[in-house]
Amino acid sequence: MTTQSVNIRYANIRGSSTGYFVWIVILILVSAAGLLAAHTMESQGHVVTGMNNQVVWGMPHVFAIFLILTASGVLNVASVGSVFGKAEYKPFGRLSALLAVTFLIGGLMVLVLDLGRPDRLIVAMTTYNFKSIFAWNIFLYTGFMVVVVVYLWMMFERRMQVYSRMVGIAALTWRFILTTGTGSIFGFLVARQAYDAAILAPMFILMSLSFGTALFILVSGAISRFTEMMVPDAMMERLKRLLGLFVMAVVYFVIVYHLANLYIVEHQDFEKFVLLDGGVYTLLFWGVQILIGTIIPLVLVYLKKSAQRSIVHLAAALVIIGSFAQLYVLIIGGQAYPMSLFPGKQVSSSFYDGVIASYIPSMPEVLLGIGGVSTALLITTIAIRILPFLPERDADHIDAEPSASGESV
Amino acid sequence: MLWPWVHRFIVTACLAIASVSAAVADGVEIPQPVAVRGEQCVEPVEVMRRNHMKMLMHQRDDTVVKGIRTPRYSLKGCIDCHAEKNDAGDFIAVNAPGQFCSTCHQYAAVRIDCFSCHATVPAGEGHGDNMEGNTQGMIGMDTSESFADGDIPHTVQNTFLQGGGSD
Amino acid sequence: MTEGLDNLDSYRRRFLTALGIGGVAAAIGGVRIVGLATAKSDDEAVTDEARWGMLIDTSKCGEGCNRCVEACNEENGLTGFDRQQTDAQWIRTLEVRDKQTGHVTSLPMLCQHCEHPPCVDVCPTGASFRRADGIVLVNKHTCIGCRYCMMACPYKARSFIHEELTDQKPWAPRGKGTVESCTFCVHRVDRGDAPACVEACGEAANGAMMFGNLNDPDSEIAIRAKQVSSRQIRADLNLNTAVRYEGI
Repeated sequence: MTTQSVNIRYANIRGSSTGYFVWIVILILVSAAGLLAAHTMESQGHVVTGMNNQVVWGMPHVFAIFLILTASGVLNVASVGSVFGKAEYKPFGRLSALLAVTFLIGGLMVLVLDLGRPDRLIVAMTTYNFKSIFAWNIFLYTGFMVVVVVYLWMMFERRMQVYSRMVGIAALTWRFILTTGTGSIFGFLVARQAYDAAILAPMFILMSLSFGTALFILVSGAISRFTEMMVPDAMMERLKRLLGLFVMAVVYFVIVYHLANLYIVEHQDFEKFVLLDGGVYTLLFWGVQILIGTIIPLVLVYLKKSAQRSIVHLAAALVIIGSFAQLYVLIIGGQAYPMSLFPGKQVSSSFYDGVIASYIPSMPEVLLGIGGVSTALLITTIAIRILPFLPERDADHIDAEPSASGESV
Repeated sequence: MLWPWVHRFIVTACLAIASVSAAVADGVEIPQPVAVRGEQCVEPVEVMRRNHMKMLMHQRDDTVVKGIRTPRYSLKGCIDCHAEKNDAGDFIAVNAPGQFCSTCHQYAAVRIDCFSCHATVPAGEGHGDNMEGNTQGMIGMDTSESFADGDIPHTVQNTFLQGGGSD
Repeated sequence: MTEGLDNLDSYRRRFLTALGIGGVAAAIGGVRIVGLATAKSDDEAVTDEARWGMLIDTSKCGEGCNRCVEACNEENGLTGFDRQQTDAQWIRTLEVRDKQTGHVTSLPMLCQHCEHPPCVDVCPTGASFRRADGIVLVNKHTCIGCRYCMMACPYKARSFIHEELTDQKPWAPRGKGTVESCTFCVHRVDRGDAPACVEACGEAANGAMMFGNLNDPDSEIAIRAKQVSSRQIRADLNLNTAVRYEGI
């Protein structure tokens, strides 16, 4: 196994085709639109967003948490390769770590640019309240970035490869702590019915693994479509099975979370809201998160015996769509449902007490979120041109597979 | 062959730029802030010029966190004395063009963030927390202490002049 | 030794100040904080000798009365933009209807100035903080506008400033991109006055709101709170709120 990993050769893409430059230009434009949106939000104030005093976290947070969870989860490919020694994964360790860094950058960009005072980022970096989970996360995110960059160095530098398992273990541990921290942002909130549940932390870990695996399947699929990099059948089969496993694990946590709430009388009204009469939230939960994002992908992954690539890619795309629905229901739905100031009593006021808060995402905040995704992809696209992140096609496979169109490695 | 020409061009260009910037430096006078009320500031002008930001920063933390509300180095104190009135007798914002804060800050090209939150004019008359109380306090201090150079109160020297402030 | 003398001196000064303020208060006849032993002079830092609190008798709260809210808006310059979803509200009247019996109570809802405030716990920069005398504030100089405190507050007491403001009151700085909430009218408390809402409630002859030092056993509020039954909202969270309610 070790000999095999030593023999992997990597290459960067040439990146001289028209398609490459068009793709770069598109990503630059979308990222710029995101920055412009953030500028509008800062100069006009958050009144240009759909967020208000009831729903204080909106679309930017859905995107940011998606990006951060995905960043952590996508590193799983590298972890499985270097920590658990699975040979098929090893060639993709670099790409996996690259995506972890770029998606984290995208997520942090969205999170920071959504602040009311992004100009005071320096305050956030210099003044800490160590009891705040947000403050922990600042360290967890920046630390993760450092660990992954070191990990990449270990993977790039042949002499350092002896340490790559050690750093891989550190990165793996860090990922679990990081996603625990992200889940605890919500899990430790005592005020709201939807949160205040420790189960959110492990649920976020599994969500990150599921989203990250789906992202890796999609990105590696796209890269092999346009370059000569190839995901071997055996690897595809493993990724497919892993995705199915993680999707099932996530839905297990979702079921336990809702069962607990259904059992506890205090939370039953909230469950009624999400599961039955929450309008868009109910629709997103059953229609998108459960049907499109869970059941269909599971059927695609498990019922089709042969790993047809397009089917796996479709399953991964559906998991990503479902992940947005899941985060939307949790983050926005969790805030839209009113806080229970007087259990057993009905409250009303001029401040939307006791009523379902309305939230309609606005263009700037959606653009900011998409801008974050776009920035992550932009950095990835440029990075694979500059440095050899992608494994060269295995000599054994070249004969078996017809040459891919577009870029060559 | 070409080099002497290039050399001469560079030297001429540098001289031109230097003379232009000298002219600019000569041409723009240092703004002389004036107080509308009271005869003397809480510290000599030179001290204020150099250290007002440190004083304000120190006072801001004291006020917000500890509830210390001495008017002497407070932003409100500055505004109470330095806000001008227009012909109609209404206060003009201290950060409006040509007014107390903006003249110097424009000269020094320093953007300030105070007035995205803080009031830019003194309180209206008659409020309990009004400027009368503050200006009285200020005048009382102004007259009872001398502010010749080097006669800065000990605490101020410690805190402000020896780099006690942050930011 | 010197420390002891200093202390003595500071006590004497505080006592004299208290006498002075008491005299002024008597002359003006406004609503002053009861328990003047803790009133301080401008140059003194607040201490934990006082814990400011409020006792609200909901049975005296007039139906449809909004005086406390109006007084707060006036005092702190909370002029809105007629956008109910994003305009700031520091205090609001809450109608509470029992689902079973139909009994309706109305009461003012404001920052409860908890002893263990969740907003302070979660704030990443420490901008959300609790003053020594128990008043929970936002230091707008270090608030980055992340709104985590609004997620954490069980009382929905906080507002985010969604757009640019002008004409703020000099004693109540507030601006775009930061979070804010009831300050217990800290600028008034520091000079020995009760919050504007309490004053207005008294002037409206309702007298439903009482303000004072919970730590001073001789203060009116402490005596009353000891005599009558009062409760905290969301007492289950064990936050030890400084605002207590009678009649709910």
